[in-house]
Amino acid sequence: MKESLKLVCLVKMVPDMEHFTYDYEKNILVREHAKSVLNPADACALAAALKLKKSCGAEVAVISMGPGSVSKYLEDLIRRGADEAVLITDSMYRGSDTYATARILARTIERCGYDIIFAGTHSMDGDTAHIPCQTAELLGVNVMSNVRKVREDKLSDTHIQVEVAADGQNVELEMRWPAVLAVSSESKYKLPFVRYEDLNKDVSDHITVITNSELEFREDEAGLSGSKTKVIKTYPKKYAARQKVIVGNDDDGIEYVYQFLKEKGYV
Amino acid sequence: MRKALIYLDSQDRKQSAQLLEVIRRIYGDGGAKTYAAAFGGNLEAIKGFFDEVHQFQMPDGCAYDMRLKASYIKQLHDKESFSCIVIPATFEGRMMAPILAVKLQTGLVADVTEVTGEDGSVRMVRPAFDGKLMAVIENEDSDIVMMSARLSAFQYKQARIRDTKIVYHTPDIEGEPPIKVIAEGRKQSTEDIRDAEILVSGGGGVMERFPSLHQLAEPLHAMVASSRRLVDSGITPRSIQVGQSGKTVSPRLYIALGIYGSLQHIEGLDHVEDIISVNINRNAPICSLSSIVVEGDAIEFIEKLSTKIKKEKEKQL
Repeated sequence: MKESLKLVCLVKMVPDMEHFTYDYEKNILVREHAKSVLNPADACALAAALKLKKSCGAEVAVISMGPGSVSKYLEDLIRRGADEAVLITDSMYRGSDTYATARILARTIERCGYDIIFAGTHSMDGDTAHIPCQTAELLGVNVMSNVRKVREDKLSDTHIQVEVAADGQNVELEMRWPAVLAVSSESKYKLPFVRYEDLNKDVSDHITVITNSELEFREDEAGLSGSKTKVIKTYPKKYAARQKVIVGNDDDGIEYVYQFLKEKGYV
Repeated sequence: MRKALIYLDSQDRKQSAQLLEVIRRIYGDGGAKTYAAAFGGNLEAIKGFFDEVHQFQMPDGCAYDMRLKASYIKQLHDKESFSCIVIPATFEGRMMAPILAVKLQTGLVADVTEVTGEDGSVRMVRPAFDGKLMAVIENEDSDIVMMSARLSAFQYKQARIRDTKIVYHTPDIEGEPPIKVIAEGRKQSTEDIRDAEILVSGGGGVMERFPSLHQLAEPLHAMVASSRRLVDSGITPRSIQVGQSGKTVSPRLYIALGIYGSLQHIEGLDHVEDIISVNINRNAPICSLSSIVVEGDAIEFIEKLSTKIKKEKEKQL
């Protein structure tokens, strides 16, 4: 086996759903004003990476893309056991869709070096679950979503075993690495606490900030202009005032209910 | 003529075929030549709905290698140049779609629940921010539209009139598969009522007759839930309790059988699209939140409606 495995974990701060602000003019999320929390599935992913680190002595690098204010959250993740963090931040990247974001992440990961990449399967805000798969495809490595358990006891110098929740079915898979393991928020992984003596530890020298001057994307390759999908508009989900209809429990009533189910596509 | 492709999830080919409705809404009836890509399994249930079905025979143990599957779909696309590719938003599909989108270097919209095609531009609607917002999205690429779509959101009601041509592909795969199945557990029923699209829920009006609810849940592909009353009576487990001291659920449809609808119970209903309540008391609080109130006995209703659904189903796809 290699001297030390390089584990990379993609994390994202997501707006606390109760307090997010949205720029309705530009149709982008204003993250600067939103209260942020670590995306729950990403927390599981990092916890899984740290567990693997413990058993095989790997190095763990956390990579995140977002505004400069994310830095303080990354410091916290270093205090919890990650070895270094990379923050990708550039105003040019704002408004990137998943395709553009995955390209930025993949290029950063290539710069850092990697053996196994961890990520959360879903993010709470966008919830597309695209990033792990798109990033893997761009890097040309294997990928698996909904990972519930990484079998660190079954790690070999070519393969890793994982347990996956596949549509209600538990599946055990052996994967050749390099690979992207997208960990489910339903997994049992929990981030370790910060040790008391590390609470105020200065870890700022473990954080690298990367901008487009390092990644060198053309303007039409990132941000809104580099995105292949465009949000035309958004609207709050509407709730039609309910006009209740009272029917009897007879053939007419059942017919009415059935037609309603059919019309709405429930049957 | 335009060509459109649907990926058939290997867990649910028949259900995936319902996404033909997406194509119908974009191009109109008969407005596109329809293709399906399948990876093994029986195709009887979908015959007559597509113009062409491409069946790829995968070697054993490769079922979860979505990059491999995506590479075959890309080969098919290189030959056919599809204008639209629709993939079910299932476990498999949600991996397949982003991988394929990168291979085709095109945009992708996830979890589409509504679609319109006007003046040649396709608009896709998807829930965002925890369902608080709906986003209308267009693909910048004018040659191809790609999306993953929620299976429950689209129903294809057209007849099986097409003369389906089945094309078999037996890819040559050498060497050890990069992702190999070691063990496959049985389908578990570790269902969570919070994931349900449809919930059939029982309260004090059904009590010990609660098991009857499965009779209605089964044809609706719904999960069962209950009010606190039944949990406290030891009839149902707490894991399926809806309400303040139970779970908050957001199904599209909530069928409340013999549920009074205390404030604590209603607290547990978040973003529910439709409620149908069956109650002997039409003034029970749950009734005022309902689209339909059926006045009468819940168990009788279960028997009548489940029979009706089964009967109608036999006539269809």
